[in-house]
Amino acid sequence: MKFGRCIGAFTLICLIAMLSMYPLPAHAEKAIDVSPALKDLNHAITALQNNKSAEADFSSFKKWWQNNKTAVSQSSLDASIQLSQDISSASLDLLNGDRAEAIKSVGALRQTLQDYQSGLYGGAAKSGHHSLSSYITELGNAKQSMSQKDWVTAASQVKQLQQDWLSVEGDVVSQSQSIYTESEKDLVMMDAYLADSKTRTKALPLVDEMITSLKPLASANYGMWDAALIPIREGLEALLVIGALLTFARKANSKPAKVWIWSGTSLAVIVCLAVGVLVSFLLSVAAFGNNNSLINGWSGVVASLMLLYVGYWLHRNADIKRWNAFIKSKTSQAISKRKMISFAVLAFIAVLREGMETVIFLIGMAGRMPYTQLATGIAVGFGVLIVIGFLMLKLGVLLPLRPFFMISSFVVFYLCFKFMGSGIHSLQMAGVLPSTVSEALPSINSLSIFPSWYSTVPQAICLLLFIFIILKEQQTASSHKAQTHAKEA
Amino acid sequence: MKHQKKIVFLLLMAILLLPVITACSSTQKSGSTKTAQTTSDPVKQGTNKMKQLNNKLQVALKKNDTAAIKKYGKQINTQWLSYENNVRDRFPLQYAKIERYQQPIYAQSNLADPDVAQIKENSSALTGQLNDLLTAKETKSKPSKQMDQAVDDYLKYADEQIDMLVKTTKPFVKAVKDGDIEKAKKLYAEPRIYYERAEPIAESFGDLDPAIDARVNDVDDLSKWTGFHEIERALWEKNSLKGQGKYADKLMADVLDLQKKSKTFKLTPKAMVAGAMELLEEAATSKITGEEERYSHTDLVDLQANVDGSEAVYQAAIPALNQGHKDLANQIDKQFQAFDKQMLKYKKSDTEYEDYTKLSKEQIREISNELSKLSKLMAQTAKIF
Repeated sequence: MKFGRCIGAFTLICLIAMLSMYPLPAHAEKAIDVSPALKDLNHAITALQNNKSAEADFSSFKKWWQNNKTAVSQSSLDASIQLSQDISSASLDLLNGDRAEAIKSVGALRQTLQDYQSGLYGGAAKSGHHSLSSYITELGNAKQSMSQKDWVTAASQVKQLQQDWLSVEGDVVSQSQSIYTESEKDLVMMDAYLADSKTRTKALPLVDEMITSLKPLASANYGMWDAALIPIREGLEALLVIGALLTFARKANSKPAKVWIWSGTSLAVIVCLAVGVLVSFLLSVAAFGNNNSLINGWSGVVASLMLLYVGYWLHRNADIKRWNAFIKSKTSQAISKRKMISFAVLAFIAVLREGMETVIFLIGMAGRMPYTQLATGIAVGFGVLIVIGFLMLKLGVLLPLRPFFMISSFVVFYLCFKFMGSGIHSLQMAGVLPSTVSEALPSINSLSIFPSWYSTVPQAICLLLFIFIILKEQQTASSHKAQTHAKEA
Repeated sequence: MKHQKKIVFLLLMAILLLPVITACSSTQKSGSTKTAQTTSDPVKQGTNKMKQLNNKLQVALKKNDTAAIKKYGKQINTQWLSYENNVRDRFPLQYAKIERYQQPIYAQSNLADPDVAQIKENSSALTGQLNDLLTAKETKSKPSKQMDQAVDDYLKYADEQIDMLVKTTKPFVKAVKDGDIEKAKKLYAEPRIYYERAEPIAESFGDLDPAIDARVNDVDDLSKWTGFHEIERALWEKNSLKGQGKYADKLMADVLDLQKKSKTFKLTPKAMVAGAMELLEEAATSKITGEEERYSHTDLVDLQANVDGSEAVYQAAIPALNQGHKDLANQIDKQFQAFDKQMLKYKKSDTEYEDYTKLSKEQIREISNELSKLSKLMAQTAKIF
């Protein structure tokens, strides 16, 4: 236990130390707020489309330009050059009263301005205006227009969404390649559906789908609890694995086994921290994104296979007699060395898998919330984990043998099932496996059931094996009983 | 023993796993460094394939072959998806522009009855963007000697203009302070010429341009309004120079300040061309609209001065343009001549043009057409720098 506490404290200190070194992105000195200009231009275009004068709106835009052009050209000469040309064309078309041309040229000007806002021209304009959460709000607006059957507005909103997608797609792709691909597809299809009066009602479910899938990725409003929940959410499963293994080692009275398990765990923690340092100082999260999926995927599949075996083994030992025989058979060394190594490997993989995600997520958060909140969040999260782990070990030791083995084997099977699903899903995200989706299949996130045959078939096999093991054990148990009954008789 | 074998197998798998992962990351890294150097650039290759497919699409569009249009529309999308990540990382602007035309083509090709006219428009725009990507410069190349020379030449020109500005502002300021309205009105236009020619330099110094050249609608607080246009209003609208002495003094001080600062001013070639573009934009947004000199109506004087200022950039850039861009240089040259010819109709003397309010709509349109052509040609120059 002492060793365990040490590890906990070590992890916590390392994480906090690492995050404190992580350079928080400095806010751009003077972000140019493009939104009033865009608003003016939008109004101007609407006015032109409705055969009204756009003069007032364009004047208002010119005033904005007058006040901001020096800052724009300081941040990007390319933007300044392109804007100068677009503004000239728009101004001349408006002056000459050529309505159709003016709509085009004001539109082109708005486009350039949006490109500049998205940071395409480089420079400091990349303002926080297009965080993922504001993007989702925009999606909500488009959805509202669609449900009000205001198709014209919806179509222009979707065009705008396609435009703005650029400024958020990096955020999305770094978190999930599949949501990224899916969302891009949705945007395309929405646009296509809306263009045709026969199909436009089909756009509504797509916008809904996008909102649902992007919402979990929107990270604009991170708070202390968001940071705390990450280690809790990610760590719980690893904790269950380690808890089961440790309790088992304790029941078997094997100190070396405990040391092996702890070594596996601490090695994984160190690897996670190393990856964290690597990602925050050398690579970007986006550059690491695919590797993260690969590590997650393979470790999930391997851990699942190992857990299947451990579950089987634990379940077998639920038979007291067998357990006693097991303890007696090797009194000096109750657990073979090979088994101990496999425990260490399992602990390593389970912690690596969850720890890596924790580290990546926390780094992703680091730039988007106050540093003190992040630090307290992490401290609270790990504190909760440590308490849970402590209780689990105490309770596990107090439990009588049979229930312990029953419960822990079920927990291990549950994790086996889940790891298999999420592991294969990660491999699909990494592009190792094709990510074909079948609508006939259910999607249950809590069990990591994804609507793809690639993940559900191996999961089904795990489930079948599990049922087979239980049935077989019951059979042997009943035959044991029958035998003893026969002997007694 | 059977279990032990299993464990060994699993262990082996786990051990094999780590090198696989590290190998994955290292191949990715070495891959990306390679792309930056070799001539078989995946972006170039992918873009050439896109162009081929787009050409096929255009053939199908001509024949109005819906099945083929849909096929190539989808193939273009598949091709784009296969390498767009490379483009996004290295050429974000070109990436965005290609997506803008490629995505609607894909969207249409997924419909039972695609809009051929729309695809046509987007496909031809896509051709342009793909060509743009093929020639896009990834890293900012070092400015050549000619370009540096061009900047030096231009700065010399700008210095001359600012010196002339100081020289011509002095008698104007004196007339204002003397309360001589008629003389001040006569002397008003000349310093404006030199200022409008060298305005990009003034705009580089934060507060100087608004202090010297702000128009009434540029300022939120009228009590803080200073510069030429404040005095212009006093001269033409109020017809009184009462209390204008302090504005005249401030104007003189600011102009002298500008002269001092411009002596040590440094400029990059690109910033120089951006300045020329800004001048043309000013001409198109405030001079040709009659907003600049709303009391004196000497807008055409300023308009010509703006164009003169951008022509000076062009002339300084001729040696650089002549290296491989002779055609463009010729076009620009012709266009400046065409513009000057148009303006000659309204020229009365070097410092005097027709009153803006006397121009007909048609005449304004003629001038703006020439201006618009100029702006487009100068923007092409910007791509070279």
